[in-house]
Amino acid sequence: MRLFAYIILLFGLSLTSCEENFNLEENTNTQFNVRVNGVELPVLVRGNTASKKIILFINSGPGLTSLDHAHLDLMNFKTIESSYAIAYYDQRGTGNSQGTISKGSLNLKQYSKDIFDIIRVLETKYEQPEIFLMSHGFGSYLSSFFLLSYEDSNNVKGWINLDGSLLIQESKVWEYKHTFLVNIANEEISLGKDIAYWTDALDWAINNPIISNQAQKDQWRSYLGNPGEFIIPSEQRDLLTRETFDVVFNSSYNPLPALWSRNGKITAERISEEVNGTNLIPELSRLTLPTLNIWGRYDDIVPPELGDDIYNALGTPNADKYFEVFLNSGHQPFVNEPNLVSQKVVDFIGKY
Amino acid sequence: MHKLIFSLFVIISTSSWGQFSIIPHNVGISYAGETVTHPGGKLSLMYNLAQWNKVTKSQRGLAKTKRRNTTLNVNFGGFYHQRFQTGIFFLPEIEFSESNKKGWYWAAGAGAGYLRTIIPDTYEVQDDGTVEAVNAGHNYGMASIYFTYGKDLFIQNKKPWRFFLKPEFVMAFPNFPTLTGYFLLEVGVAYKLRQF
Repeated sequence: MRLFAYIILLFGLSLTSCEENFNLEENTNTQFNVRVNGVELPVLVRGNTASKKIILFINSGPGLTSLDHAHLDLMNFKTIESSYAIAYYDQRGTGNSQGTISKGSLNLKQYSKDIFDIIRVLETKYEQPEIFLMSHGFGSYLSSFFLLSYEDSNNVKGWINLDGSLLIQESKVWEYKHTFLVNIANEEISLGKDIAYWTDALDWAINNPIISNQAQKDQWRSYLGNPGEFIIPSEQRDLLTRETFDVVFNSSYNPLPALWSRNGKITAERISEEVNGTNLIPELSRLTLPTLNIWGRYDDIVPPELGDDIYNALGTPNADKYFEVFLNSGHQPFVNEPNLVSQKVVDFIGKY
Repeated sequence: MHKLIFSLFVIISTSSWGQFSIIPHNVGISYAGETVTHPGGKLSLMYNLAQWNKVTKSQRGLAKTKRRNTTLNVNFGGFYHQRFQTGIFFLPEIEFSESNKKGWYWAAGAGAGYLRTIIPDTYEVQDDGTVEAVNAGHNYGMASIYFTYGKDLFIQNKKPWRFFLKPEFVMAFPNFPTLTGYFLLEVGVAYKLRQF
């Protein structure tokens, strides 16, 4: 009986002994939850909060988790964290978000409100730091939707857009992908690489100005290859067994809802349904905040030609917007050229 | 037909409760680690419902006797997953077990109960824009399936202890999209309070 009482005591102590702190430190590692409309969203703040600059990272997907990525540093943001803090969060319906989540609440308006509230909590708990957004892929759609929705009330100081997809109109995206192939073929020919191959690709592209059917899409893919095959850099980051064990057994994550649930897939379907056919690029003229656009030259999902149009559409003064094309990257420059991404991000934030 | 089933139910229930004692046959205590490493504990009150012997013949014609049991385990427990949640649960489980003459046994079972979660360090933006710390947590129905392997020292040595290892898959519902899964690994010991 004494043993049982001892175990209960230990259990009780463990509940109260690990309160999070919100001190401004160079090496912060704090996790908390933000409740929005009955749902708790986990937020992990890591890095240099003493800088009083916090980057809120909005991951891609839709439906991708973030906290487990952060735990394993899959985005290679540790270098950035030594200069500034990064706040990672699991979006509603994904990963370890908790609570009663109705499918009806999986929409952009609610997701924007989630971002707004997380920023409010960050501002309150960290003595009004400057907030930057950093987003990748679909996360950039979400970021720009939020910035446009809360145009007058957000205090976001700047936006880092990593290969962001703001155009969800398939036919238009394929126009860009067509141009992407033409440009790649011309570049390779001018470099004297596989001239016959790329000439053939160029001829095919000229003879197929509109790519619409599956056979054409397959042919387009066959010229460029899949990531890691020959021209598009590999975006795979192999997980070591030790890392997998670490995130499963030694992290704040419950891996079952995060990794082996259909929640991410359902979330992706709901959000995709809502955004399908939309294009935020014409709206970007309303945004005037400093923006760093980073694109992989070989991004076959959101080609840099599309990134260039996003850059041009922004209402930000030219002196405050940047478009950086990384020549050895695909859709995930933070995987292909992590040091360069870190350097550009740190330099950009340092200016504001 | 309905009357017959109802009458049988009443007869069985009455006779069972007539023999029922609040004192369990065994009381168990275990470490119950959520995803193995996140600490938790479980107190189990184990009531034997039925016990019988199963005799089989070996290839050499020798009789082998195995003891079989059905048990009701009434469990109270909790776990602490740092930064994620604390769970407190009440989980009755029905179990079938079989033990050999040396006391080694296996068991399999399923349960249904209640889980209360407590979510740490939660903040909410109020209507006036201020941020306040709030108590957060949710109530869930709970279901479990498990397997147990262990040794009952009473069978061979008449010592009132048994040890067991129990991997358990737990589901909490309703959740998004339907339920949330947990894996618990229990390592425990049970003490015999009375015989069946």
